[in-house]
Amino acid sequence: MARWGAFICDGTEVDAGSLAGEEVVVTTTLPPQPRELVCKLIGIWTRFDLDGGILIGAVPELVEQGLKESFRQAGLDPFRLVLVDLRGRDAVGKDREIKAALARARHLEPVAWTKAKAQQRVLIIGGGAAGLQTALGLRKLGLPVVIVEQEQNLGGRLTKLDGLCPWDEDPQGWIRSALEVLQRDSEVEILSASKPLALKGQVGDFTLEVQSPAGPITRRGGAVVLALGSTVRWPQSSGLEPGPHVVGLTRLDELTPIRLHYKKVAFLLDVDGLGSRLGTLSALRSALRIKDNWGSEVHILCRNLKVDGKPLESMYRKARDRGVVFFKYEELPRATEQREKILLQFKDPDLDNVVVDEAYDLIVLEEEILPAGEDLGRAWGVLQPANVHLYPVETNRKGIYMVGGCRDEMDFPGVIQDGTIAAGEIGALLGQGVLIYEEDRVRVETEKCVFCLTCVRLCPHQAAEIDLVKEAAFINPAACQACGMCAADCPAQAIDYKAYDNEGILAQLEMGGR
Amino acid sequence: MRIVVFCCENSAYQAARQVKLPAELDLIRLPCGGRVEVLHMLRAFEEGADGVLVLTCQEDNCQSLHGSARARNRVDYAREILQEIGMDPERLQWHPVTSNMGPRFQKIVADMIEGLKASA
Ligand SMILES: Cc1cc2nc3c(=O)[nH]c(=O)nc-3n(C[C@H](O)[C@H](O)[C@H](O)COP(=O)(O)OP(=O)(O)OC[C@H]3O[C@@H](n4cnc5c(N)ncnc54)[C@H](O)[C@@H]3O)c2cc1C
Ligand code: SF4
Ligand code: SF4
Repeated sequence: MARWGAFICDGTEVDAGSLAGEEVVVTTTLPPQPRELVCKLIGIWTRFDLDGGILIGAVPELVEQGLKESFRQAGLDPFRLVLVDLRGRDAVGKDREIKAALARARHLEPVAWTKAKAQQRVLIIGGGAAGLQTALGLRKLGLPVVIVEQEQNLGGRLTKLDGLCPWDEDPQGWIRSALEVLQRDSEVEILSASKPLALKGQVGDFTLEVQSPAGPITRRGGAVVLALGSTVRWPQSSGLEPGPHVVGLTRLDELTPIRLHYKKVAFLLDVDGLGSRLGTLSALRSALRIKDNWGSEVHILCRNLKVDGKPLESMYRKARDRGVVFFKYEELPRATEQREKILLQFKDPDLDNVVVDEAYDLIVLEEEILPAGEDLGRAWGVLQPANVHLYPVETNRKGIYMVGGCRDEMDFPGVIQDGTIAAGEIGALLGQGVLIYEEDRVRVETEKCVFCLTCVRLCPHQAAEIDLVKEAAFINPAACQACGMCAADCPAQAIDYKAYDNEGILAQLEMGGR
Repeated sequence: MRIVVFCCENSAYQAARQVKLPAELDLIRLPCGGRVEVLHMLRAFEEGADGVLVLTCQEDNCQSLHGSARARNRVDYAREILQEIGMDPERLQWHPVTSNMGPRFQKIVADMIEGLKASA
C-alpha cells in the first residue's frame, strides 16, 4: 500500500482528523515561513519514506516554484506532492477541494529526472547592436559565443545612422568599442559574410549550418539568439519614386553629413498610416541635422506626430525653436513634379483646411519599418508574439531568444536592454553546463502511436519530433514545456502526461460529485 | 448547484485564488487551456455538474500560443454535442480570464449560476 503524508500549513482551518485514512501515515502542521516549511516537509517526507503527499493551505506561486526546486535537489519527485490552495473557500468548499486533491493524488505516477550535459556556447545570428550587446553580456558571464553576420562588417543599422538622438551616444564609437572587446577575445568567433542555413537540435544542443566564405561549416551551441534587425518598405501609395528629389528616411543618413544645397526640404511622414515612433525620432534628428549642415528651410508633414515621453518631446521643441515648421494632413498631399522641384498640395485641419501649395527641392519619405528575418523564424518554427508570458526576449522555443529590431520596433536604449536581459536569461539556463528536466513527464507510448504527426504539427514549442526508426512521435523532454496540448489532441490517446493524465482529471470530477 | 471550472494555472486559477468562491464549485487546475478535452467537459456533466466553465488566457496571450484558442474550439464543439442531445449549450461556456482578474472570475461564475437558476 502506498504511504501518504498530509501536510497542513499553519493557520489553515482544516480538521486533521478528516484526513486520516489507511494510507495516510503522517499528518503534520507546517510553519508558515517558506524556508522552514520546505525544510520540515522534506525532512518528514524522507523520514517516513513517503510515496506522495498533499500540502493544504495557501501557497503563493513563488513558494511553489521554490518548493519544487528543493524537492528536485533532495532527489524527490515534486509531482508527487499535490498542492491544495484553499484561499477563498468556506468549510464545504475546503472539504470538496481536499477530497478532489486526494483523488488526483492517488493517480500520480513518479516522474524521472535527468541531468544532461549542455553546450555552453551561444549562437548569435546578426551582428547589429542587439547581437553585439548580447555577446558582450554573455562574455561577462563566461559563456563562449559565435556571431554569424551576413554582411562583411558588423554593426548593422547603427553603422548607417548619422547620430543617435536623443541619446548623445556616437553610434560608430559604440560599435568600435564593442568590437574591440569582442575581437580580442579568444572565446568569441565572428563569422562575417556568412548566412545561417539550417538549425537542428533542441535546447542545450543545437547545430547550426552556416554558409561561410570558406564554404559550409557547422557550429554547436546550447542556445540561439536571433538578432536580425529590421528592414524598410517604400510606401507605394505615396505615388512618389526615389530619385534626385525624393529619398527615403533611411537613405537620408548618408546625405546629411555632406554639405548639400537643397534650399527647401519636406519630410512626409506616416504615409499609409504606418508611421512609427522610430520614424518620428529619425525625422526629428535628421531635420535638426539639415538645419545645422545645409541651413535649409524644413517642413515636417504628418498625420499624427508620435512624440511620447520626455526625450522625444524635447527634440520636438528643439526642432520648433530652430524654425522647423510642422503641418498636419488628413488626406495624403498631392505631389507633382515641376522643374527641378516637387510641388506638394495639402490641407491642414489646424489651418482651417486652407489649401497649402509648397515647392520643395527634396522630399524625404518615411518608410515602413518591418521586423527582419520572418523567413528564418518560419523555417525554424520560432515565434515571438508580444506575449506577456514570453516577454520580453523568450520565444515559443526553449533556448531560442529574439532581441532588438526583429522583435519589436526599438530605439538604441531598448536594444541595449534587450541584449542585457537575454544574456542574463541564457546565463541562468546554461551557466552550469547542465540542463535538469523531467525525462518522462509527457511521453509517447510508442506502441499506441499511429504516427499521424498531429502532435508534431500541433506542439506550440516544437518539442514533438519524428522518430523514423521507431515510426513514432517522440517528445523531446528538454524542449517540452508540458502544456498538454498534444495529450488532448492525440487521436490514439498515445500521449501520457503523468501529472495531468485523464484518470487523474476524471477522478477529480467523480470525487467532487460525491 | 454544482459548477465545475477547468482553469489554466497561468491565468484563471490565479484569479480564482483572489476571491471568495461558492461552496459547490470545483476547480480543476490544468497546465494550459490546451489540455482540456471534450471528454472532460462531458464527463463533468455525467458527474452531476449543472454548469461547466472553461476559463483560460486571452487568446493572443497564451503561453503556449494557441492553447487558449484550442480550448475555445473544443468548447464550441462540446456545445454542439450538448445541443444534439437536447441539453442547453449555455451550461457550458468558455471565457478568457487573466491572472489579475479575480472579480471577473467571480462574475462569470455568478452569472452562470444565475442563468442556470433562471432556466431551471
Ligand atoms: C530609419 C531608422 C532610423 C533610426 N534612428 C534611430 C535613432 O535616431 N535613435 C535610436 O536610438 N534608434 C534609431 N533607430 C533604431 C536602431 O536601428 C536600433 O536602435 C538598432 O540599430 C537596431 O539594432 P539591431 O541589432 O536590432 O538591428 P540591426 O542593426 O539592423 O542589426 C541586424 C543585423 O543582423 C544582420 N542579419 C539580418 N539577417 C541576417 C541573417 N539571416 N543572417 C545573418 N545576419 C543577418 C544584419 O545584416 C544586421 O547586421 C533607427 C532605426 C531605423 C530603421
Ligand atoms: S498525435 Fe499521437 S498518434 Fe499521432 S503521432 Fe503524435 S503520438 Fe503518435
Ligand atoms: S506537452 Fe505541450 S510542449 Fe510538450 S510536446 Fe506536448 S504540445 Fe509540445
